[in-house]
Amino acid sequence: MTRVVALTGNQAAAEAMRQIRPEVCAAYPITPSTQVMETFAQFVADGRVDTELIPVESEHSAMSACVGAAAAGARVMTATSSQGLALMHEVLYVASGLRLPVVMAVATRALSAPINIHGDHSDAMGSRDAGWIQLYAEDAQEVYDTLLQAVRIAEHPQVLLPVMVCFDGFTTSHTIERLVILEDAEARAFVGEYQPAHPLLDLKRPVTYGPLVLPDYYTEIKRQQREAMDHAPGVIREVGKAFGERFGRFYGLLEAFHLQDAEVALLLMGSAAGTVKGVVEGLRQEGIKAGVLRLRAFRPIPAREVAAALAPLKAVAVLDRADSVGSPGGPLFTDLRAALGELPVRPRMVDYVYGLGGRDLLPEDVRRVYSRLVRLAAGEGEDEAVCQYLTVREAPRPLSPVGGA
Amino acid sequence: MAAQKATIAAIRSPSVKELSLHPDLLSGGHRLCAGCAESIIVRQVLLAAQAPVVVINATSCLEVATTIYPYTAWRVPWLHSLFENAAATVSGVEAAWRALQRRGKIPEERIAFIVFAGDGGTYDIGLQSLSGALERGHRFLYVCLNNEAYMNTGIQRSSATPLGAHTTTTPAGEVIPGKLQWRKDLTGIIAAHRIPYVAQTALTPQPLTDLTTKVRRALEADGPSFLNVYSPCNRGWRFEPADTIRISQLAVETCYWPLFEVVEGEWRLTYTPREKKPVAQWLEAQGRFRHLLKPEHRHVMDEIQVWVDREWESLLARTGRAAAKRDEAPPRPAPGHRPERAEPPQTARAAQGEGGAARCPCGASSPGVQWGCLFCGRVCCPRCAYSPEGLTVCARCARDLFGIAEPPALASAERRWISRE
Ligand SMILES: Cc1ncc(C[n+]2csc(CCOP(=O)(O)OP(=O)(O)O)c2C)c(N)n1
Ligand code: SF4
Ligand SMILES: [Mg+2]
Repeated sequence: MTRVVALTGNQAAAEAMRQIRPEVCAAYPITPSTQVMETFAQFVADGRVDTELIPVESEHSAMSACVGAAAAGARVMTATSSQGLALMHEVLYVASGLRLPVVMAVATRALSAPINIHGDHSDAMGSRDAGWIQLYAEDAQEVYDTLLQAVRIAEHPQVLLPVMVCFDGFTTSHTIERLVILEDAEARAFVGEYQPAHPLLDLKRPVTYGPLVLPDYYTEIKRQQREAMDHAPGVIREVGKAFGERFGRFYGLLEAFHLQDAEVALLLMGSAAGTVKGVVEGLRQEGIKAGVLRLRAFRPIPAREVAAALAPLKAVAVLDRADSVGSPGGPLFTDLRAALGELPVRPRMVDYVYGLGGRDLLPEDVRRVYSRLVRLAAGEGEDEAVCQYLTVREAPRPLSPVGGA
Repeated sequence: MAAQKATIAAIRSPSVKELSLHPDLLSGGHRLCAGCAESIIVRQVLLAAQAPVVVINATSCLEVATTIYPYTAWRVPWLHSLFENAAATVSGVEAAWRALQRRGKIPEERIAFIVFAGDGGTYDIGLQSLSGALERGHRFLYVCLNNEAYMNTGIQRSSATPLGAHTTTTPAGEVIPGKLQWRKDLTGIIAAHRIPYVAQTALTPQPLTDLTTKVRRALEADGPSFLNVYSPCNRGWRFEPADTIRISQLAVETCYWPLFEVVEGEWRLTYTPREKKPVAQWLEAQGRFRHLLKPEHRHVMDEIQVWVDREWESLLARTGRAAAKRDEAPPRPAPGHRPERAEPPQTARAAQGEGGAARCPCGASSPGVQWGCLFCGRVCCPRCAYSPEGLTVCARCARDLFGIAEPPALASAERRWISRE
């Protein structure tokens, strides 16, 4: 039995959290994720969930309390955005380093300065190396579904890593969408019970969490983190499949749209996929072999799958919703290049930084990108920079001195 | 609340003899310095606690010295996360404990959640996190191991460092006589949170069980509790490792570190020295104040006495032992203030031998030549000095700051040197 409801992405996240019933949530308000905790706090106030809610005095403390609670042996969730995620930065590494399966909803948002409350991926990209799994949802339904799956992924004994479920600030966090919600019992049965292996509160077996580790052992501990992350792709796929078998919506590491016979494609993450898919439908009617590859998992990056999916294509453009100033392109682009680097024959690859601070991505912008890809696919001379900003008040110009793809 | 107040006040620590029968929950073999007060305090806290204990530790000397992987000195569950977040971390642990009990996932039993953090982690970088946790009312005991500086990183000033103290970021120099500010009244700030139990205590033979009694009381409080424990550090304060307890007692007898508690808002002295000793006795016992003995810096000693008197009188008033006086603060230096240049310049003078020659602890002397360490200003001859990039760093600072082994000539002179300070 399921229910069809109209919720924002934030409310969908709160609904998932209510059903997951974490023992502890510690959070601090920040636009655009505030509504997650507001909604959840109301659930607690109304007795609809018995979570211990800790309304802390900062995001640094929010993640610190999550670390304490998770080490204690509790299932723990939180939500944040932007400056909040930046303020947590130091603690994110503690959560992953201590192998604590915290799950966090991140309504992604631009970073100051200048201050801007709207969506882009700068905040999440800033923590991409923090040892967290990062999953990107396209819409409210995926926010809900992915949070339920995230708990199982994080707590999987072969993984034991924290997970961020990222979704676009405002576009997804604040848009009311139609979505399907599971019965509480079904959701709970899917998520299962958390069995912590070494809880701090096991008084009979005292553990020392977070010791000083010197050069003689530090490397091995970091290596174990990498191994855990190496297990993550298999587990993400397995959990996504189990979810699909039970509820009809299947998930993997990436989503391909019209990619089978495509010659040109866009690679992107998040809500922009909706706009891009619409454009592709149109292009297909015009006879253009356009496709889309949307990454669901950014950490771990499914490099092999991406390479396999894109190898046969002639030209690929990355849509990066964050810049990495000083690098050859946006963070997704540099990862794509690395992923495809081993291929004997590679498609042409270009990068567009888009949607910063909430700037809209319009269908005509997307069309512009595809028409460039078509030119590149036809082997026409490259007249533009490899990396550029899409929709900016200036003539396009190179973002970096790095040469053509 | 009155009942609670009376109950708490009635609690007494068992005798030391009785406590000594309890198992030691912090094992030996850790790497804290010989004579460090921190391990003594921690062991006493753990001995006094009756409920099972879970420890949260902020980054500090205690944390790094007791858990060098793959070893641990802790026989109780122990968690370290970061430097400034111990209070937020314990909030999460305590909330998890409540939630897991409610769901029947762990047995219903009381646990004493105890935080150990340094003064840096408490007065400075962790103050926000602590204030938040106190305001939310989590049930835990926060123990500040107050050695009045950042010792783990090599003796830098904190807002607990007293006026005049030499630290590596407030070095005593020819112009500036150590730290220019008085310390922050953290215990008062914590008391202003109106939590059930706040106290200041120290390792004192007189009264012998002040610390353990306060631990018992704090753990009985229905809500957060806080102990500011005076924690002499022989490395940072420059005294003989054997003198830790003596220095503690002096701090108490001079009223530099009065022993008191605030139970449900009521301030009480837990010890009154029979005769209040001049603070100079305590200052003179520590190398970190050595430069204040110079005539041109003696006025700093007087200022310290003024601060101590003022705080003591205000404590007497708060505890109902004296009428409240108008609380006049001694002048404070404006930010960026530079004292007048002290005359004459002082680098090596204090260590000059009878003939007026600067004398290195190895015994070498050189009339007319002023050898001075860049960091501490002490005399050090070129043979003993470590000279990176043409700078002069005395052998002891080279050892402390850069981990450079000291020349053998000094090893025997070392003890003499310390006791001379
Ligand atoms: C955010 C952050 N800044 C700085 C440090 C470096 N650091 C580690 S311990 C410490 C000083 C600790 O001083 P205190 O809290 O007084 O404890 P003590 O070692 O004196 O007992 C500092 C500055 C850190 N670990 N984290
Ligand atoms: S430096 Fe001071 S506080 Fe740190 S272990 Fe040594 S004596 Fe103790
Ligand atoms: Mg300290």
